Amino acid sequence: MKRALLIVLLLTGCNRSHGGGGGGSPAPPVPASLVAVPSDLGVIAPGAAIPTVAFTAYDGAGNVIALSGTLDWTLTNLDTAGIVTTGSQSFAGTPTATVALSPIAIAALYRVTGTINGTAISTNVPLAILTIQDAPGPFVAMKSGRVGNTYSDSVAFAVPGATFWMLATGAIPAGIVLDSATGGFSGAPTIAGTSTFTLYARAGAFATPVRCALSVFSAAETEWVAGQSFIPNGPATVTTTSDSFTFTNSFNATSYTTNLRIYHPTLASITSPAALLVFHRGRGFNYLDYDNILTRISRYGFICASVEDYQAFFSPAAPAPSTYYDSTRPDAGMLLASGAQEAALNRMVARSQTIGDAFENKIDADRLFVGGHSRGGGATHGSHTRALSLKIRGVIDCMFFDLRYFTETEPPATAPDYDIPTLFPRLPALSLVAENDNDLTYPIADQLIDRVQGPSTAVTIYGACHNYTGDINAAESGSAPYITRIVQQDIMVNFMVAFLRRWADLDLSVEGFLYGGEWMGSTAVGVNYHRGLSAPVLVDDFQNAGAATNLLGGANSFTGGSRVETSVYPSSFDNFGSLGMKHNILTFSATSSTYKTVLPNTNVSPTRRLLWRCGQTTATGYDWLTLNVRITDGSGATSTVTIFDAAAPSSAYLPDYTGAPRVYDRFVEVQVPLSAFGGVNLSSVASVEFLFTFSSTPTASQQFYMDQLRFE
Amino acid sequence: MVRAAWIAVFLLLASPQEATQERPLGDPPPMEAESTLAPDRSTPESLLRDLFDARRRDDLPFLARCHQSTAGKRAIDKLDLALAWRTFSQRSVGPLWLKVEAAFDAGRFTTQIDTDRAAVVFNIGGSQERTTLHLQRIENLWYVR
Repeated sequence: MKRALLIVLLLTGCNRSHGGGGGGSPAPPVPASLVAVPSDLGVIAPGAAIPTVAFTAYDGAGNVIALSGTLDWTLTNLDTAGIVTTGSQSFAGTPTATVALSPIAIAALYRVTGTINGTAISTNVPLAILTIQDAPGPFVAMKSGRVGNTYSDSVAFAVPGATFWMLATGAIPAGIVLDSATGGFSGAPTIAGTSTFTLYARAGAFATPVRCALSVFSAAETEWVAGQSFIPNGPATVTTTSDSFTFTNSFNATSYTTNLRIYHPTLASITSPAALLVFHRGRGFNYLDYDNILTRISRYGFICASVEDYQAFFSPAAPAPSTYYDSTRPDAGMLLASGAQEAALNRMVARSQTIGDAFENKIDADRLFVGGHSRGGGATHGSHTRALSLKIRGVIDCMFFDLRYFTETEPPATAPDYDIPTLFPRLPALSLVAENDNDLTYPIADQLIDRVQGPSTAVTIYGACHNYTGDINAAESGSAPYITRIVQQDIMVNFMVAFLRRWADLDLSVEGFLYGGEWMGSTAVGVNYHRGLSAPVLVDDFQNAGAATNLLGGANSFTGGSRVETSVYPSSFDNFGSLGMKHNILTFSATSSTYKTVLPNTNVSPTRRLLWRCGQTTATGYDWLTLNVRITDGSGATSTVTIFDAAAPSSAYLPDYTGAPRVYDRFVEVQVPLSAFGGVNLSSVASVEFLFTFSSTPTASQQFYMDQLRFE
Repeated sequence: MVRAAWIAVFLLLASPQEATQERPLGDPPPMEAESTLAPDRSTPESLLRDLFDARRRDDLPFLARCHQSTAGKRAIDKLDLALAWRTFSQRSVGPLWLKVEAAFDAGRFTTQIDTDRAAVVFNIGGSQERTTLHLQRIENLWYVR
């Protein structure tokens, strides 16, 4: 035994004496990189324990190697650019050197830098010592992208004043990068799908989480599934539960008790927390009047809570409310109702977080929605304005008040109101309005769609009325609905379920339903949308005072008539038509007219469609005009698509008037696939022309208006 | 002569149409015939009474003369009629005008005059409760703003 040991020692000594001679002894390992786990320490509260960081060296082939040296590390305060502390840690023959930091009291951004002693090989580990506030944070529906297309967006609006942005959980889609200084995103996505992730936005000593959902569609948008219908009942069995609770309204700080009726799949069947829609009744309606719509939504797996809130405005089944809120200042009443929506959200989330409650773990606080009807829709507008603080994912407005109808809400608002901005804050939104609404008599959907910033769908239900949204009240006087209550509610449920599936479940299959032109030519609904797709080519929004040019700088011209850029609705009433929303209104004085907008040889080949929204001012549809759209490329090649032919009308793009009572005088969205424009070079488009012809010179009542001319 | 030209330019620039309507582009709109009747614009109420009657008889030139965009214009053109149509006659705004007229007939309105502007507040009922119509006085004649 001793003899054997002596032999080993002799051999070792021999190796040492001949080291480097290439005589069969292995060379010392040469590190090529240093990897830290975790690679990012994330956000840690001041004074809280900090996880250890393990540094491991790798060779050039990516193999872990054992080092006998040390790891030198430095903790740097990035706010002050000062070194806080340093240290050394031995690799000690093991592959990994572990660094343990003491808790840090000072809020700042930090960096832990590890360096292999004697080399330039190092790696950095970010660390933020900040107090997390406002969890779970606002929700941002980020602009959608398409694989291979340029992408850009920003979430800076979600946390005003934030100075640094960092990824907290989840993953940003491949091909897109976050600018940590601005909250901007850029790149070109490479993989289709929806990514959900949470960012932290730093402002001072605080970090606010921001929940993001970013959908990337394949180049051919094969995720869309056309022809879906949610009118048939969904698979869930629905029951209702009553609730009553006392709360302090955030609007006026008064406390009162209200009731909820909760529509939900049987509780035993809810195996994971479900999305919640809090719905506020209209004035003159009972909170129990929306049984049909809310039950049917719930059959698709969503929980709905209908709010009684008798304080905000009159309900036939409740004590008379304050005259002040009901009629003196109805705007304030609706903001009070927004406070009731907020309380109902809080109530339901609290119940879901209460051990032993029937709704324990049944409601997903990450998927909250608010909706309402009539003045309850006005309340929803108020909640939409507060979307970031309410942490809601979307809103559904039914035959609703636009709070900017009231001059008291116009910034600076008249107390007790808070400011209602002209533009709707960026949030998924669905609005449903009734063509024959004789309660809210202004054509609100058309006013709405020009003011949205988030993905939005505005639906006018032809022949519908105000009161048929509920189950009880007769059609309001003078409305003359020409569809039945059940048909109206079918249409409403269809869109509401599609909307909730898109934004609660992030179901991409309904994209075409909501934002894809599936309703062109419909005789049931007029649909307009703002898809919120990144990098569209917006030719003209007709908002610019210099109407002679479009947004790309090209000239606009019109022959055979006159045109103005103004609201199609009168500015004579209240805020009606006076919010600065303009359209391109064409009046004709010949039997052929051409509206032409010039593009500076623009590359639209990354896009798939040419879109605009349009309307006409007669009560007899579009059958008085023939419209062709012509694209000309930089070499002069042209291609023309017929949008509507009065001599051979079809409903491919615009509804075909077949007689009263249908009218088709509301905005509708038109989108033409670029594949229809064969023979032109889409990488160099020189102009788009709208070619009108008429059987006789149109009268002053025959006007055509359009907006948001774009390629997407 | 020069002075007269400057006055003409001033009047053109300061005309109510310039203040309230976008400058039209495209071809000059053709001139249109006036109504055989003329609105009584001496008071807000007389203007409204005549306006409601004109709506019922689809008298578009008359309605155009109720709007401030035609104040001071010697003749009306097709764009004036087009604006009148959108303001007073198109189907989408019809129900609101009917409610306003009903409130007017029932006396459920108040008129608040502030120098050359008037706000007529109609109690139209329903969820809206009320709506306000804005009028403008130009050279002592009232117009819908």
